Amino acid sequence: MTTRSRIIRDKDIVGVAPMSLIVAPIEPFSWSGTSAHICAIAVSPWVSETRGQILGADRTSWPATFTEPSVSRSAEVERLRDEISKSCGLSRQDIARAMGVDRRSLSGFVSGEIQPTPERIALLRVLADVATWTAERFGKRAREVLTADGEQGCPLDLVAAGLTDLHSAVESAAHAAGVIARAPVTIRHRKHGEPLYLRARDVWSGQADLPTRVGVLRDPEVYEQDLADAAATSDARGRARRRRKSI
Amino acid sequence: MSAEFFVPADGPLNQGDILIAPIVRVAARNLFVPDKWDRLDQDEHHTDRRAVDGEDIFLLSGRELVMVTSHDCHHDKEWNTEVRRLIRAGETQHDAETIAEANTSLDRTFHASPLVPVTDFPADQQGNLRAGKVVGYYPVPASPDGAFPDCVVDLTYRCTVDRLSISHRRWCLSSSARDRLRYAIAKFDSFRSVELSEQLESAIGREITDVQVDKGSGIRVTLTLDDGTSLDLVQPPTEPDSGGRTRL
Repeated sequence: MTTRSRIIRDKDIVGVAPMSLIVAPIEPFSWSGTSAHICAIAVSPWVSETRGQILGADRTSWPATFTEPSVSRSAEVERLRDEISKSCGLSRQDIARAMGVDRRSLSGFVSGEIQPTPERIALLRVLADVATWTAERFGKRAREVLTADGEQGCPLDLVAAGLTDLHSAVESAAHAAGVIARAPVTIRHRKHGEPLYLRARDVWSGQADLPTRVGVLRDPEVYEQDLADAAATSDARGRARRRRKSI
Repeated sequence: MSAEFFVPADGPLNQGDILIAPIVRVAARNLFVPDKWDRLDQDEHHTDRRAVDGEDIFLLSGRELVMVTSHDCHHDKEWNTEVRRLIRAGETQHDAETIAEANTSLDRTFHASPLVPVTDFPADQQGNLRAGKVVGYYPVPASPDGAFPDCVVDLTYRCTVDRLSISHRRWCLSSSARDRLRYAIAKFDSFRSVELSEQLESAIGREITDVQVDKGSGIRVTLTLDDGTSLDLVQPPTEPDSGGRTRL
């Protein structure tokens, strides 16, 4: 690890970890997104175990000390690539597209045959953040959104072009793809009376019988009506009329 | 009494099974909880739908002892239909069951209502609840093994449960108790007075000696039977056409 000092400029990212001040990203990459958004991307690969407080980035001329990461670039590319694939199902071709390279180059980054530039790694970090955000918002349809063409273009291409604040672009792509955002859910435990099941669970421990988890073939007579034999509306109406007449 | 009421549960899921399952109900924004459901409503869920339609959804959920209320013909109905179709198409029963089990689109849910201790209701209601005189509640005595006290199955709280989410099944209603459960469900869901069908059943074999039609309303018919008893019937209103009612 090496420690260097530099001047934080407007739009630079500043975060405070428990023991040190961390500055990101590595020069000469230029960020243009919101402070918290970018700080999360830039800091997380370096200090993933810390829970630092994010400071505002819209301040100028802050002297600071930062620590370069010790993790190897190929290892970081591999980790981010796998995270992105897992979170939103992007293929390696998609990920390479967002990095502005072809799929073989991405493989070369991972294997160590090709040394990725800091700019390429930064693009991958941005993509990881966008992928996580998109997956949280659009669930299983995240890849569909990230590969769609919105008003501002395809989010993958926008990442490759160096844009970092992509929320509106992703929303636009989702709209173009006809994908509706998944509503965020907040869950809160409420103070309540003691449920009955707690005692039952203890009493029944070891003697409870669970039905099989697979379907059970039952006597056809159990079923009042086979779905395949369900009567058409007109027939049902006819039967109902006949019954009324007989009364 | 409870020994005659319960039998050990075994085999596939059946109406009257008592088991532990997650439950949920829809609430308004203030997440109102009636006293009787204080044990049931353990977690509050708020779904922020500003990005969807602006109408947030509020839920109250928990885990509790429930009674299966779905009729046996509901359980795995689509799965059974699919297996029988596959067998008719030439598959062996084993292969048909394997194929159907892999089909995740088949309904595997059932309906359940939670058990609520009678003592969770106001004191002046507990007697009627225990006697089964309150529509919407089915009384259940304390379990033989002491797992739960005197309860009612609260049919006014009903939820759809995936059978894969349940745990700890121990007791099921005996045959006669299950009949009473069905009576309570029918009374709550469809007919406030199931007694009418019982009167009709008791009239089978008797002769009708007189018929009186209420000319005022035109829909009330009184049948006098040969034993002197009478049946008051109401003619059902005319059904609308399949395309909907075009006039009153």
